[in-house]
Amino acid sequence: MSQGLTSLQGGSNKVFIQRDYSEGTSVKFHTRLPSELEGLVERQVFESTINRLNEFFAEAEKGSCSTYCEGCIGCITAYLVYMCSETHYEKTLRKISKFIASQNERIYNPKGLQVIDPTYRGLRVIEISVLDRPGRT
Amino acid sequence: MNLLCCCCGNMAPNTRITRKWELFAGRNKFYCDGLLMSAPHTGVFYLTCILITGTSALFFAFDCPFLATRINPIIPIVGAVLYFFTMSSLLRTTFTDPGVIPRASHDEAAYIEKQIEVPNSLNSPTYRPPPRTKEVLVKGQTVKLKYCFTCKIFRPPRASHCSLCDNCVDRFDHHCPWVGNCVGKRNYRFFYLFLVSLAFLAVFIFACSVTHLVLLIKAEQEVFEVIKKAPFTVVVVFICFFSIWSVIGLAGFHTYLTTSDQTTNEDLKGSFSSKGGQRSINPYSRGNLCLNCCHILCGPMTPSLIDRRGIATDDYILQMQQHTSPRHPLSDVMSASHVGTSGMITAQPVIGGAGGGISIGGNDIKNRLYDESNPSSTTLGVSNGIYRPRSYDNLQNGNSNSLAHLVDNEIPLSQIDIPQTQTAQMQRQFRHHKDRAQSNLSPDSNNIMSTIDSNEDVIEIVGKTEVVAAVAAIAATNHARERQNRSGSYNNLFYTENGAVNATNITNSPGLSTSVSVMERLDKESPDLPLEKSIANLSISIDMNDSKDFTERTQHDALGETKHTHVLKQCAPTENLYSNVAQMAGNALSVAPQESSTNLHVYSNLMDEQKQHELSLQMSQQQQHKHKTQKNSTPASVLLSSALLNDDLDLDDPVSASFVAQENLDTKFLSGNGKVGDSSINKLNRLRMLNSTTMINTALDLDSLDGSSLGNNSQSCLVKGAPQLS
Repeated sequence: MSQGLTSLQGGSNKVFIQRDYSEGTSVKFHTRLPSELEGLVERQVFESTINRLNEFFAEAEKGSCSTYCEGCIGCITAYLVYMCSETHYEKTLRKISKFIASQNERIYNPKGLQVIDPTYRGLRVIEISVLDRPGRT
Repeated sequence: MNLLCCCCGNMAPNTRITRKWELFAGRNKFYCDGLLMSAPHTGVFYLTCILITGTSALFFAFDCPFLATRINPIIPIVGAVLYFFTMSSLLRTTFTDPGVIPRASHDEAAYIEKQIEVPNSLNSPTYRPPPRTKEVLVKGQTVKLKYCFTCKIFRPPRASHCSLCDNCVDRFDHHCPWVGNCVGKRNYRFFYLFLVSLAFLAVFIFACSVTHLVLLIKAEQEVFEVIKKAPFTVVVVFICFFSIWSVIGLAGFHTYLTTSDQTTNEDLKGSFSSKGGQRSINPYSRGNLCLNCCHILCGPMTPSLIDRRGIATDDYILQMQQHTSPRHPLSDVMSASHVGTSGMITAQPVIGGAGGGISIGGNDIKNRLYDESNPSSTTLGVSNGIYRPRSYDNLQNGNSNSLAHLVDNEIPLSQIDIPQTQTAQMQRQFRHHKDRAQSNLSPDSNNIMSTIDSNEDVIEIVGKTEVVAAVAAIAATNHARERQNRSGSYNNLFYTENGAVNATNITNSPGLSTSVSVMERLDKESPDLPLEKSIANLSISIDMNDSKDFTERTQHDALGETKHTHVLKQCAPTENLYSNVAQMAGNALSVAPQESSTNLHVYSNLMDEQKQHELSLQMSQQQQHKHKTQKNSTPASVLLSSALLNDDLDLDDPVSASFVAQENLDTKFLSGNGKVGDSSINKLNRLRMLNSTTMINTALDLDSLDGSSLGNNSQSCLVKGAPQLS
């Protein structure tokens, strides 16, 4: 509820973690704690969350044997296989959203923060909104 | 997730579920409730489908039975598999999301904007825009990320904005009209597969059809008979023959791209080619041909980022509304051009759409500057005060054309605060300024300019002057044509003359808002050009009929021209062929006896002017100076000109009527001075005057023929005269 309200008040209470392109175009986010969040969340906690997310994405995009097999099968079947089965990437994304939900619940929501799944932002940014109600900190 | 649930509960009144594709900001088309998407224009895609399907159908219908029985029954099966494969990958390419990067939400855009902001002082005359590029290191190589004005994001590396779909597409390859979609990260593999399978299909069908024909020829021994017997096979062979090359070429090209992990976009731009000695290596390549291929074709497939089927929550709608509001097809062009010009002004919230793009009149500028019709910019400005509205919001929501934008952005901030009441004055000042600028130019190159000058004044004095010359000229055509033969080789000169006259005519239609802009253009372009435009204007003003005004105008024309003739006379009384059009024409006409007095007599009004000078001395000081020099000219000329007025002209033509009217005015004036009473008839003068009218005629004739070619014609005429002018 408060999310809807805060978004009305301009972008000041939202922080966006940008993508880190240093290792190519694969999905990776900057782990540096933005200045807006300093004092709201511990640096280590934040970095570990982002690192974990980055790992998930790396796993999703990694060209492992199984993913190549998947791709090959898709290729042979003119990619009709994708219509019936979920790809590895999609499975990982599901994991990611679960992970974020749990992190929110355990760490960020009590601190008055809300991490939004980057999938909803086109994997461009991780949006962290600072909720109005003060946390336990 | 939590957010999603939370907002789901919130949207109470709206029972119908709005999916995100319905609010999608790009121009893509969606099918099956957002399951499928394609580019906005899919016409060529259907053509592709028809071509492939048609050719295959002909092949299956007419070649396969024969080949299956004569050679091998597996041929139709292979053909069918290939066709199925090709079509399925084609359809997949077309209806898959190519990897559209969703636009930034309102908050995100604001956040980015805040991050890249450059400190600007309110007093600085121009707004310094924030940097529009960001440099990042990708595997040790610097890559420039450009800001996308439409999507309000810094485009990820390899992404590009497709102007047709109006989206940023990740790993943008190209927009392919044949498949009716962008080719990007998500559908490149389908596209590549389509190309390869199509190449195979084309080669296969071609080979089979040729075999069919060859077998038939062997049996029949007669080519003509074979064509008669299997016409469709011939058609198939033709289609395949012509398509095979491009398809194979494209497939080969994309194979190369795939193995080196490049996109067509990068290849065309030469992003990774050696430039300036230093070779930049493709940082995205995995360094191995097979690995590249594998990863691109079989690698993990990223899911669609735009979540088309997702339910649009209230929050989502709120965040995206700013983008979907009034978008103009030209917005891409605008943003592109703005990147180029970088002349971005912030404090103009939005550009009034109605304003004429080119005219630089103060009014337009003012209106646009004060037009507060941009909702997003005002909402944006909440946290940042009035000055806040940022350039790219303006760009985004502006619904005027790009030219207007450009013009607007050239305005320094210092002009913004001019109160509304001053605008008229501003315009006037503007014009005066122009005039001054013209008069500062060297006199001999500025016959036309000066006439414009004088007419500028006319605009202000007379107000609603209207141009009659056109009508009059048409009426006089017949007469003129008769006489034109006599003037013969001097036509060009007359054209130039008329260029000047017409140019003045333009400026005399102040009711038309275009006149100012036309005039400005006239000013900017060399004196060679005005005829073209003036003719255009003449055609506009044809139906205006007011002889009085006309006479007034011509008087003013005369003023301007006489000034010039005077000047020139001072310089080189008779031999100033190269200095002045009017002068030139005068010389040209001087074939006839009155050589000494020719300079002044191209126009009857000229003569009148001269008379005025000679007789009344009531003109400005400048003219009085000249007047002295003019005294050298024989009084005969004066007489001749006056003679014109009284007798000869056929009053049935409006032209002559108007001329006469004018001349009568002049005679009155002159007779008031009591010096001119002589009415000796001079045929030559009449002829000249008519010739001058003829020029208008010819111009109009041309006009009626063809608007565009006319410009060229007249221009060429002018060009003939121009060397002498300068």
